Amino acid sequence: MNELRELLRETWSNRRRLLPVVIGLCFGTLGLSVLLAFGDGFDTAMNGALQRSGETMVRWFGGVTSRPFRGQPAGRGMALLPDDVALLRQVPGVLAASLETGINARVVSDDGTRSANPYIAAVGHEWLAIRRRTVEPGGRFLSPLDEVERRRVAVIGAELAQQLFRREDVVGRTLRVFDQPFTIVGVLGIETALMQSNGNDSGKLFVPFATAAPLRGLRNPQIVMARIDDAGRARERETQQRALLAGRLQCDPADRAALRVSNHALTARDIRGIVTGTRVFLLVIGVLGLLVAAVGVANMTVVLVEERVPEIGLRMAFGATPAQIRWRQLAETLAMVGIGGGSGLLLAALLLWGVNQVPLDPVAKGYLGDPLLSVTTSLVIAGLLGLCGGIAGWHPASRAAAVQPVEALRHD
Amino acid sequence: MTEPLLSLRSATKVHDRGGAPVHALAGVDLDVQRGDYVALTGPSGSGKSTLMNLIGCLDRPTAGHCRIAGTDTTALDPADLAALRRRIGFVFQSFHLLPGLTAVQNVALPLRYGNVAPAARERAATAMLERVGLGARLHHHPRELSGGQQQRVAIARALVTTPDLLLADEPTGNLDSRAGVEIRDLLEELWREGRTLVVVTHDEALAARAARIVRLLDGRIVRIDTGAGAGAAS
Ligand SMILES: Nc1ncnc2c1ncn2[C@@H]1O[C@H](COP(=O)(O)OP(=O)(O)OP(=O)(O)O)[C@@H](O)[C@H]1O
Ligand SMILES: [Mg+2]
Repeated sequence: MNELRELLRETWSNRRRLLPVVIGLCFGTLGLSVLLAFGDGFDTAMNGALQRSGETMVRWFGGVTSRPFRGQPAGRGMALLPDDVALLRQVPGVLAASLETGINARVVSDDGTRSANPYIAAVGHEWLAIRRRTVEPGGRFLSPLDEVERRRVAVIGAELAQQLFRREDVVGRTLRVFDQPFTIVGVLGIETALMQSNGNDSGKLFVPFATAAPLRGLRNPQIVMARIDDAGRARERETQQRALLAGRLQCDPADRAALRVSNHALTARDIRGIVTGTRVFLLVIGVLGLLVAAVGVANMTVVLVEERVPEIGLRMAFGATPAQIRWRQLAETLAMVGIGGGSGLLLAALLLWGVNQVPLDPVAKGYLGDPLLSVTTSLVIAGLLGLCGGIAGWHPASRAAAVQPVEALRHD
Repeated sequence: MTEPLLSLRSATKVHDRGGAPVHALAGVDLDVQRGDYVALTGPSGSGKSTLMNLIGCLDRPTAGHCRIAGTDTTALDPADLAALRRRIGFVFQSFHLLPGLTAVQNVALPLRYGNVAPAARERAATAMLERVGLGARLHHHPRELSGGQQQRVAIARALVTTPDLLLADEPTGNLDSRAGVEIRDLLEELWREGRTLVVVTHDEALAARAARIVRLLDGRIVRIDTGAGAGAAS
């Protein structure tokens, strides 16, 4: 305790000269902390967004053949069928399958006062599981029975609910679509999701394909899609599905134009790569800043030790061992680093708290995340600081320990 | 006869000055018994400080041996040398007090390295400062003390570990004559209490108080005289 007091007193007595070094460390740490915190927030947010986007989803679109196949000419249109969903379910590794088609149509609230022209998604009951979205508490998504009985039920996006009803708890209310009353059974919340098509899901209305198709003469789905078991085997799963669909459509499986695919698992992998790259970049910038500060510490420590050579000689003359001198000197450097780095961490925590107080659009927030200084990040930074202090302080401390008392005391 | 506290055999120190060897000490034999009071004198450059540094384990001989309380210092590693230094009190010509510390803190310094608890250090340092007549100046910094007072703080610091041996290199060299007399009296008093003293001095009046006066010239002992202290020695 006494030692610590003396250490701090000595640091304090050198405050004028140490201040720039400590400020350098403080800002170095602040920069690193903020960069890492934003990296963390970004990563968490992107992970969530990717998950909510149906990260293990493979979507198929019918196209036009670009080459002849088994006597059939090129240029044939490939139409997906509702039965292709059942076909997909037979493919190994497919956990869920659905179809999707959509049109914009007029929707009127039950009291007839408000209307909108949203995107109406006609989907299967497994659509939700494939896209990994959630329905808000108190409601449900479309069910198999809804399809079988062609019930007039709908799941409404939260933003559309606001628009039509000025509120979001609208389960049980009805609205008119295709001139028919539909009962709302669930609400899809506002979430940040990547790779959504035809606008944000929270502005859409979801109805059973089986109900909507006869009402509007929608015979064929635009899309059939599947959720696969393992994003790591995305390429293999895609090939298996393609083989089956191409067989049914009687087109060349190698004909990419005939059967177009959007494999989210592969896209997600690319996006994750970008996120990781960004984080590494932020880390490198931050660590470089810290290194600059560490060089300042090393310089200052060398100067302090040189000045202190007579004092060190004197301490040795009174029985200090080289090891005691070395650790004492190292402790001083670490104290300097601790004060500078500690204040930097504190400032970073305050700054990030402030940033999180700024109200942001929920979707933007979904990409930025909550840049908070996590315990892990703080520990990593503390470790890096300790390492910097150790590296910056070791050489000067060794110099101090190697002082020869006779030489030191001849200085005057 | 018991083993001498300090024993030098053909102690030699050669410095290298730009390639030319300088024989600061050219084979010195000297024994100092417990309770002895030895004054080292000689012209400037005769090797007095070099000899003191060897005795104080601040330096190693180029050749020959230096035994302190039976231990040969030439064979010791830095940590053991440090341990041995804790048994020796050193008073330097130019005080060498740490300016940032108060009198008590300066005096307590050697106890830090002797594993003494902080409270005990402060008590011992206070007692020692009172002993050298500075009980009223405990918390003054060196710059607030006169030269004589600073030298007394330095002596208190050298004595606080109750060392076997007290070494003083020109303790009166930087003092006016009145302060010099005070220090001279203090050293004699300490010796009469039973301590072993080796004092380097140009000051004949100080040397005359010692039991033995060792005269150096060009790194050799040329004569050993008997001083006033010889008769009084225990
Ligand atoms: N580190 C060194 N390098 C080179 N020569 C040295 C060194 N230390 C001492 N000397 C030389 O050794 C000789 C003895 O020096 P020393 O300091 O022991 O003399 P001294 O008797 O204490 O003199 P003074 O009375 O002036 O203090 C001198 O010639 C000095 O120049
Ligand atoms: Mg000298």
